[in-house]
Amino acid sequence: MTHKKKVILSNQPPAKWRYWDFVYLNGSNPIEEWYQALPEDIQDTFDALLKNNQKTKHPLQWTGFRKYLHGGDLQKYGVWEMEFKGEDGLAHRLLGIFDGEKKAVFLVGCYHKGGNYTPSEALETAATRASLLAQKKAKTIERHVKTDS
Amino acid sequence: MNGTSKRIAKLLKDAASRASYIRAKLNVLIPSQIRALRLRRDDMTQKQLAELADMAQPRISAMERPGETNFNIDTLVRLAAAFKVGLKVQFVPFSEMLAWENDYSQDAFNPVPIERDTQFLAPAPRPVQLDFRRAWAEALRHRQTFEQRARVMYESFVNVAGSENLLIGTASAKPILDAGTVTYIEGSNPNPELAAIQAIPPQDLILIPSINQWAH
Repeated sequence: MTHKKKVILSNQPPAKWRYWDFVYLNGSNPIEEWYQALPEDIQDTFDALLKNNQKTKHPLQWTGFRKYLHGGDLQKYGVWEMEFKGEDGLAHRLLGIFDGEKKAVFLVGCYHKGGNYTPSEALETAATRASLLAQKKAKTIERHVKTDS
Repeated sequence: MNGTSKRIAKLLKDAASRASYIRAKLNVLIPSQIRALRLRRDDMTQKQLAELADMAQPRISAMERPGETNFNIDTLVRLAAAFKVGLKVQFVPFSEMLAWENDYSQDAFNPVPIERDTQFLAPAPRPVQLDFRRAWAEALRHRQTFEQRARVMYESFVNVAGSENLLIGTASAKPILDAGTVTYIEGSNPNPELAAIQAIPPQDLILIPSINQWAH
């Protein structure tokens, strides 16, 4: 038996991933606050990472994608972890969730050293924020990827 | 001054900023390429790549994490060899580096391994750069002989298309030739040459065989 695949040719480039920051209803954006507190070179690496990954279809193949986190609400909401390092030598981490077609929501920015997260409650915060979003007690705002051009 | 202008001013002024900026791009683009290549190779595991590159698996894992590894050339060479691809390290303008980043896609990045690299294994002949003066002098030197054979040579043109011969005119055809109709007969694209040849009477044509000897 022969299976034939239907090939659809398109000139349209594949849709890129879009990124969204978690934002409290009062407008406070903890992701942007975390980003602004990073040294410039770490911001550059983070921006380059987002730029690279937005063109990568499967998030499990994203550069820097670590894993889905296990346990409790982290698992329930599908919280994942992405990592990158800069010149400060710290393993910076970004915790987030996927929400719909090619939409990634960033929940917490932190770093990881010696088995500990800083801030120490990063995982709990990620679960709480995911829960707030699910209950529509928080919102998101799109993070535009810097293009430098 | 907006954020972009401030950044550019800093990059213009400060070597450390430029180094950080370049490093930030490479922190992502090198791990991304390694990851892409590994996944394209039949989902090669990090362990398999480590064995091919004679490295430890945790080192491969670290090299796929953005910013984790300060790559040296030898490490990249070993990875390239393991992936059976070449490596190009090139200093470029910032605009070119940015264009590379903008155009790069991890999903699309898939350089062919050497065993499928037909351009490397069987390269197409390089276009011949003709030393016109030298070829013309040679044509004149053999003018009598060639003029006698001109018609034969013209008829043979169609048959020899693709071979490394040059069809060239006699002195009376020189104005046309000077206008750009000196032709290296290339089988892959014979029509422009054919049009030029048809503009010259057959008796004014000369064939210089084995034109490669005139190329430089």
